[in-house]
Amino acid sequence: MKHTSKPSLDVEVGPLRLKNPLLTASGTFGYGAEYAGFMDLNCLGALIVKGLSLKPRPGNPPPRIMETAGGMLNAIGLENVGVKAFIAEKLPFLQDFSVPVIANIFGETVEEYQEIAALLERAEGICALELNISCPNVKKGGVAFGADPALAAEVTKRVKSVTSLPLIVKLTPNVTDITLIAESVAAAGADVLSLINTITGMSVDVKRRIPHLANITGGLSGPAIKPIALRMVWQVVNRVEIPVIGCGGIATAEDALEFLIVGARAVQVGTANFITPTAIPDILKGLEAFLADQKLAAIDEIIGTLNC
Amino acid sequence: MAGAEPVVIIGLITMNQEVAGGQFLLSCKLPVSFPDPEPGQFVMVKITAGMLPLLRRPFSIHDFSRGDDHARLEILYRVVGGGTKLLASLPPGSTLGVLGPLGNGFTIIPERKNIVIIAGGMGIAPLSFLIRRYASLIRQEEMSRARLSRRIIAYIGTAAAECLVGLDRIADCCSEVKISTEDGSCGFQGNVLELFCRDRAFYNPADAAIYTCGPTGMMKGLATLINGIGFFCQASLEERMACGHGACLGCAVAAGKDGTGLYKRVCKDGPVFSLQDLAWQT
Repeated sequence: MKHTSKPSLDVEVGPLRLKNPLLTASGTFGYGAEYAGFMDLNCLGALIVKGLSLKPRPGNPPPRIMETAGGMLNAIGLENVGVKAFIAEKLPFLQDFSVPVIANIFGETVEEYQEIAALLERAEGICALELNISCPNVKKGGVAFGADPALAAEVTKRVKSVTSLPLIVKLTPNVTDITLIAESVAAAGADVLSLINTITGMSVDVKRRIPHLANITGGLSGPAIKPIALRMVWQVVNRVEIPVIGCGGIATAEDALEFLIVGARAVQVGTANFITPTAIPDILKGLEAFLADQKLAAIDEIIGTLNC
Repeated sequence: MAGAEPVVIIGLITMNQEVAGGQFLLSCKLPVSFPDPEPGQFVMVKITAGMLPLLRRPFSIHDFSRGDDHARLEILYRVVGGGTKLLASLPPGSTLGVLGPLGNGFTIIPERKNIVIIAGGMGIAPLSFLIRRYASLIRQEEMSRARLSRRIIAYIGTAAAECLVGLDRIADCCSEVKISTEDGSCGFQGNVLELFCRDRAFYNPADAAIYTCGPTGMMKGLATLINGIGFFCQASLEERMACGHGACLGCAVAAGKDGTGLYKRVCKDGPVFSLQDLAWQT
């Protein structure tokens, strides 16, 4: 049978139905408006905004970033306007678009996570929450939750109890065995997992003999981390029943396809947006071309089809 | 002031020459769709098609002009690392990814008699474009016999005479060009702030506007020098950047009085700032 209609990019990610598998990685897309001049936000599968805390955070002193081979380190320090200012000042702009908006949230205590979730519950225009339990740059809260299966499960369960929104939990790779955290969080009620967040790294100025980052260490992202991210996604997909969103070094359609083939139901694109603001629309075209070339009717057909 | 939305386009290098030790002037042909930039704005340049280096590099716009079917952009840069070293090796005919124009430009002030420019080292790069814009404005004012006769006074400081670049572009635009070199090989021996300091008392807030760009220490020293006097003074900053368009929050600079702990983005809230709005004590 000849497929004459355009291939379908629709994907189901647990309770979420997205028109394509491409999401923005939190922290790389601001609150959306920053990219509206470069691309049509409505072409995104979903827009995950910068991580929101209960109170506004100023972030870390500079220098906050440093390029590495095939990647970059960041120690932004989770600078954000705070959930209340987000709802009042940033969300209205996004409501003019049809793109699903996902709020990434984090707290220093479980109670903070719950408070933020409760505030967003009442806000219009959010289709899911993504729990950041994995940021490697914050001294309190972030690292501790994501590195301990019990703590990760607790924050998942407690947030799930106060929200009706689908819950995505974003995992940190800075652990010995990510599948243990994944299992624990899935059992605690997460609807979806996303992984990976950045990998803790470091860079030194040899002339001045000081770290390149004021924070000393930072999170590594970009093409350099893709093999690690891909391996972890593959491991987690084979351990849990809930859907997984893959993230880490995706810059091209081929990169995205690797993650889909190992079993991710969708992917996040992050650092690539810095270099090419139209990275996601470009990848979208690449996926369409791949499906046409392979004579596939839907992207869904390749998900989890790794032969091994 | 920011104008049109920035664009992502490919340019063609028409010239890439070393003009002083380690300092290069690059001229690039762009499609007509590139918007008119304001002096003070910058571009993010993709030096290679591949992943090395990964990130674009920020360069202030040194000059800009239009032909019938193209635009021409110039940048003046110094080789400081892997990215700029690679850029310096690109011959005419090479393509370059250009994202811009980005950021806020300098504010052009009407009715101020003395336009004072203080440039340290590579700071001349964005200030040259500003000088030429002011010169063009002043010529128009003179032709329409404006009441006020305005002058541009440029204070240019470098390490040594052989490091001086960009003077030919601004010589005809300025009433005076005053030079300082650290080693005394040209003009005043010392730094550009010491040179300006000698003239400081000739200027007052009602009749002068000051624009500066250069090493952080120099701009910090200027902030101290003119603190509390009430001058209009703008500074163009630089900082390591990843995106260059306000999304990543990587290029933070401390702003706000007395270390209130707030940051602004050099790429989006700047690169031009009111000198007094920055927290120089941190």
